[in-house]
Amino acid sequence: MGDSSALIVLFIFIIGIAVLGAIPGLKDKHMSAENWAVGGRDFGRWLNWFIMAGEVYTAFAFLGASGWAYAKGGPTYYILGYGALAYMVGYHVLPRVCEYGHRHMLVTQGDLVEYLYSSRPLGIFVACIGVAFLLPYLQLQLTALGLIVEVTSLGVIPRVQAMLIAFIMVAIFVFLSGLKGVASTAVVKDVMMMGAMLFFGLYLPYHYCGGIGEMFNQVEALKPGFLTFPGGTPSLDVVWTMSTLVVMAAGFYMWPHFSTNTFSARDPEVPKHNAVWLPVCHLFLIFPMLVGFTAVLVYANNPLPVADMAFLYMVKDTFPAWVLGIIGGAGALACMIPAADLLLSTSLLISRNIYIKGFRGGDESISPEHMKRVARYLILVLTAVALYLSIFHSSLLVNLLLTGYSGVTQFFPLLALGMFWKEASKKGAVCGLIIGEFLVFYLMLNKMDPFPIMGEHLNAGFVALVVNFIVFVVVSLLTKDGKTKLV
Amino acid sequence: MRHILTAIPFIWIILALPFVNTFHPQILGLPFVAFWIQAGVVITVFCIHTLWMLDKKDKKRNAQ
Repeated sequence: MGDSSALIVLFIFIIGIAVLGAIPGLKDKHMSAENWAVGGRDFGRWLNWFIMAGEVYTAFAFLGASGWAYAKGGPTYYILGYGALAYMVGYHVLPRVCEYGHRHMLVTQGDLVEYLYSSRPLGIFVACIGVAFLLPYLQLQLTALGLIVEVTSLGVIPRVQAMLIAFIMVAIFVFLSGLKGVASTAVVKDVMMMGAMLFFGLYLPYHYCGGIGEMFNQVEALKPGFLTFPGGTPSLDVVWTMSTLVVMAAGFYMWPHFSTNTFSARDPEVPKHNAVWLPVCHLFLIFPMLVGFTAVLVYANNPLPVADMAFLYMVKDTFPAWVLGIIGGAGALACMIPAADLLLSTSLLISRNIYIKGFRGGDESISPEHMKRVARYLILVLTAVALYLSIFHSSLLVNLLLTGYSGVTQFFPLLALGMFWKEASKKGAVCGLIIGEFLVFYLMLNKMDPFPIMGEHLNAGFVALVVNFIVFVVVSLLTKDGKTKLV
Repeated sequence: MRHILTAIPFIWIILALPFVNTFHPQILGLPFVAFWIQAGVVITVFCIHTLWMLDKKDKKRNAQ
């Protein structure tokens, strides 16, 4: 009985969310292409806030936060800080992105780059790099979902079946409703997620140790130094954290799907409103960490096989099965909603920037309806590809994923400076981008991340970003033509 | 003023980090460094909100 109650709860969640997401599409059978891709560009403040929060705070954010706290200790605090800094950067950059989007009817990040530097090849190039980093991110959501369902169902439902069921549902509702489906489901997911984190983060330390302060004292007594940098790791020291925070602050909004989300805002006031209120969401990330630190004590004598599952194991070993079902359900939603948004953005990048502009000579000759049809069917193709990769080649994309954040961060000079600095030029953008991406791959694949320097360590993405930035500025100043457009 | 408000979170969360990397004193039960960063987030909310208010005021003045 116990087992089936967890499963029933879990499936109510997964099916419920798919139905909810499909409603906007079923109501409006003839949704226009623009409506489907960017929600008609009239999402108000709170709806946009929920989409952003739904996208940022994935299952991996909360499982990862507790997993890092459990396995690595102190270095996990960097997670607390990066959001606030990224939103400060976003406050200055995103209203500009939104203005460009509305004025020139842009849909993807590739469109924005193409417009800024008046260069279609550069737009296509950026779109390709974006897709290369989005695909593994999509696969990560799949894999996390499979793991969550497997643990929640106590092994009754194998990973592969779980991934198949959940992702077919996601594909269907994105196919039908586009960004509007993502919006309505994100609201449910955000509320669930925050409620669950708050409750378990406060309850579990009390349950096991009698309080948060007591819990930290016991961890400090058990493992002195574990709760400050570099904690339980050899190289994640203070300097690493500082450089990582710079990379995250710059790279955060460079993920291609955030451009599409920003274009969906009604006016530039919306991203500003987001910048004020998203950090509030970020404060919640301390709670899964509390669970992770409590797990250090609870599992002191029998270490967990998968650190990232620390949160789920704690719930499983403390509460009856149906509670685990709720958490598993919330976790599954937290994989499905970001996956939906990622699917949508990736399909838009491929259909608009790579297929239509790259092979069909531009969108002037193709109707919006045709474009929507291509993007929609690509959703199904991408789902199949992601499923195939995560079932049969689960390690293939690991390298791309490792480089993902540092990789997209390399867009920062050409995008952010390209919108504000009149000297920015196409040649500078190309040179900086190529050198930045090359360095990211070179350093990461040769195991030079964290990058050792004078007894301390730097985030490899930071090294690449600095070089990229210098190249971008110098080459831009040296070139006379191909300057960016500031309006 | 805008530059200062933008810089404060970066100074608080990034530049101050080498000086606050300690466990004691615990505040609200948190290790000091965790509390420091968490406090930085609250301060950032305040800074961004003030920036937004300044922007709104400017907009109004320009509209008149």
